[in-house]
Amino acid sequence: MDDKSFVAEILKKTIEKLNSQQDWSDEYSGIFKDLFEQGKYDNQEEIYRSIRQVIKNHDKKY
Amino acid sequence: MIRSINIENLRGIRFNTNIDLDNKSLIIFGENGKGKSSIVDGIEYAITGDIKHISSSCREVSLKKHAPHIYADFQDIKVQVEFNDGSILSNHKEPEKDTLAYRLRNSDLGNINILRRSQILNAIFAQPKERYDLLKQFLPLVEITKFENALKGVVDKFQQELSSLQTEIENHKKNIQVAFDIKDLDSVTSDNIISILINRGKQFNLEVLKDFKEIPEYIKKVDNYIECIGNINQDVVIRNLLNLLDEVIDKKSPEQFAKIIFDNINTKLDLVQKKKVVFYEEFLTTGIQWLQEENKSLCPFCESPIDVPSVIERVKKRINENSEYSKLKKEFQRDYDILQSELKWWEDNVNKIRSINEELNDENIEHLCKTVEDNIEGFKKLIPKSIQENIIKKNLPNWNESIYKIANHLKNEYNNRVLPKDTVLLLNEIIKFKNDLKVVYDNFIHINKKTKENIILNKKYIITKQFYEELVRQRKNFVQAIYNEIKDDINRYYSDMHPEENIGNIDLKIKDSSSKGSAIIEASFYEKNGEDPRAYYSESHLDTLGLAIFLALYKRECSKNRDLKFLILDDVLTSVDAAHRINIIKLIFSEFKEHQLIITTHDIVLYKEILELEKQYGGNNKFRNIEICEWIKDRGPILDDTKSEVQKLREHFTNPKIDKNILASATGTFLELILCKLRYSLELAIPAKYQDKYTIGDIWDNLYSKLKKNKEFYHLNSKVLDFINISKFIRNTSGCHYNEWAQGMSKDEIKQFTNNVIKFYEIVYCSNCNSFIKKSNDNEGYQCNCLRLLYNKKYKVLIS
Repeated sequence: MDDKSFVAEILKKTIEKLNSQQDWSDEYSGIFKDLFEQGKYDNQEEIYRSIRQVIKNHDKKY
Repeated sequence: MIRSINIENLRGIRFNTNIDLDNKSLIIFGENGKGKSSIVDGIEYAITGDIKHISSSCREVSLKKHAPHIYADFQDIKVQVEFNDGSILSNHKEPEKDTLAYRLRNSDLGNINILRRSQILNAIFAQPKERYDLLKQFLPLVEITKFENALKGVVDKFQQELSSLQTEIENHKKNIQVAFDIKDLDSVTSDNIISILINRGKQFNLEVLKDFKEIPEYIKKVDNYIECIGNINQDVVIRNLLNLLDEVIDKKSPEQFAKIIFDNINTKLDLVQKKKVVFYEEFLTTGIQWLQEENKSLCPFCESPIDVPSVIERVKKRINENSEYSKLKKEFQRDYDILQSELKWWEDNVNKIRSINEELNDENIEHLCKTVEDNIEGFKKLIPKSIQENIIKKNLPNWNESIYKIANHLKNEYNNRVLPKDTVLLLNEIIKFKNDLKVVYDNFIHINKKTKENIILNKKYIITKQFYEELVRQRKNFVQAIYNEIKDDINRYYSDMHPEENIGNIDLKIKDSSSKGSAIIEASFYEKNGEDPRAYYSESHLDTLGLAIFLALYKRECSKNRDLKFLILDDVLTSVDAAHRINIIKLIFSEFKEHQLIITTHDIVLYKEILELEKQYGGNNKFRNIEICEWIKDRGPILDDTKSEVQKLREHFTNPKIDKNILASATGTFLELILCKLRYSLELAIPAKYQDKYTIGDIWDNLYSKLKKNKEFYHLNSKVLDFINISKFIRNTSGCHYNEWAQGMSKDEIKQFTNNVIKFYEIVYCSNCNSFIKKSNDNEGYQCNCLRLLYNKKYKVLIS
């Protein structure tokens, strides 16, 4: 397993685990999934920005 | 598989050192400091572009500065590793695409197939986190570490933002705490503050405050209430005015201070005399200064020589005789300063009163100010500024007594206009209440706003933290799974290394509490299980434990990358005893029989043991052995791969059970090896062949004719040379290919051939200086480095 596949596997397991928790929304998992697919998962600024954006949208919705 | 290695100007290697492996494993023997590790460094540098133990050593040691040979620069380094597909990895050329070299360069393997003894000890004796870092190169953790680091950075950033937001909220609460004199900050809650404000409002019969939002309207009601009770601001102004008027009334007239000056001077001195005295005194004082500072020795009037100290003494005496006038001058100055200060007081007070009158706008107050100012002006005109002025003729100024009368009148008038004390107290309380309302309103606006921000920020923080922690947990599970995956191999290797010893059960574990990685090693020692092996194991047992872990990780890596087929072990068995290291070598030779091994050792006994073991694992077809005879500072290691080969050939020769074809093959191969060496040392003109693959025929004819020309050499060795010349076909007929005609060769004939090849080796190779013969310095014959072998027209041949 190469380094990227290793991240993908761990990410998959992490999301599975969190999605099964009541206080966790699929939307939150989506943030990290998207970041991984865009290859931006190692970029602190991008993670920060995405989380801010999703919470902002989430708050507007509810 | 590696076909050849070329190293130049790296570490202990100055001149080009070429090692042809031909895909065989390589065993290098050399004493300490002979350049074994430099060869390993060269391979590592060619493959990875780095020499890890140098680049990650310490700040003072760097690849650029310390990788080159001491007489070379960084750009002089040339390293090259050629693989079995002909592709090349080097420090000066990128490998061609779709080759083994290219795949290796782009595989991020690092130096995972190279193990040095120092690495073993580092891994075993490190703390779990540092040990994990060492093991990290074997685990696919590069990208996940980047992900974790970025996430941790965001978690920390949100935490920092939360902390500063909470500090802001706390500061707003503290402002309210101070205003309301509340002891405990936790008691500064909306409910508590509303309750306090309601109670205070009740004291002033104000209606009940329900919400902080009502505060601006509520403050307007408080203002109305204050206005009904009285004008507190005006009351404050009047009280200040009354204080100033009291000061004026109590203040003495400046007239008496002026009178002192006049009386003092006029009674003690008439004008004419005073003028003279003053002038005379000043003249004498200036004269002394002039004599001292200018260093004069002549009288300024008659220009006759004078005794300066004596003159100064006499002048000082005269000044003292007039001291009464000096005293008078000082007294004048003192009295003058007092008067000026009094006048200044009056000026300041007038300014203060006039400032208050800006609020009251009272003509009588302005009249008082004007009167005082006029009087001050009059005094300033009449009072002399120095004792020299003609004061006798001036009249003593008068201070207008109406000033006191006006002040008293104003005092009476404004005393009737001040508010009663009770009213003032009530007003002060309600004004404080109003200010407190403002403090509450201003701070709670911010507290509410920041609290909302805090909730959202906390949400972001919790999501990121939760995700980060779960990611770390999952990564740990995966790493633990890898540890478990290699556990069997580690234990099998360790048990093979230490058969029938009551130790083992090695387990690698990841620490639960650590957010970063960790690697805890546990092992058993007799009845003790799950112990840190450092507590019980000997140094050599720890070494072999490290080696077992490394081999298991290497094997796992090989299963993922089929190109990884070469394992390099640099002096890793130093501390291990003879019995154990044979177990270990056997284990490595059998477990990695499909791999190319490069093993170095400084231990001659171990080297001999390895040579012995090679026979069981493929012998000459699988292994190549090199001894480093010596290391020369400005050349590098001197390699010799013939000594072990001749030893093997001698063993074959004395073995009665040896198959004649095997003997012929070994003899032919050894003869090829000698001829290749002589090709270089005697500088034979042989047409170049692809990859330097020469047969006996390619070199022998040229060499034979050259050696025959040296009469001394040929005279002594003609039997050996001629025999090989006529028997060399044995190499091709019996040694290489099956040939029916050659089957007629007897074993004795082949043994004779072997015997002559060994003799030929002894003629051309000096075992004293470990060198082949070469052209002598005068070009007249041949010699070895130490001249023990010397074939020259001028000298007799020396063979000690």
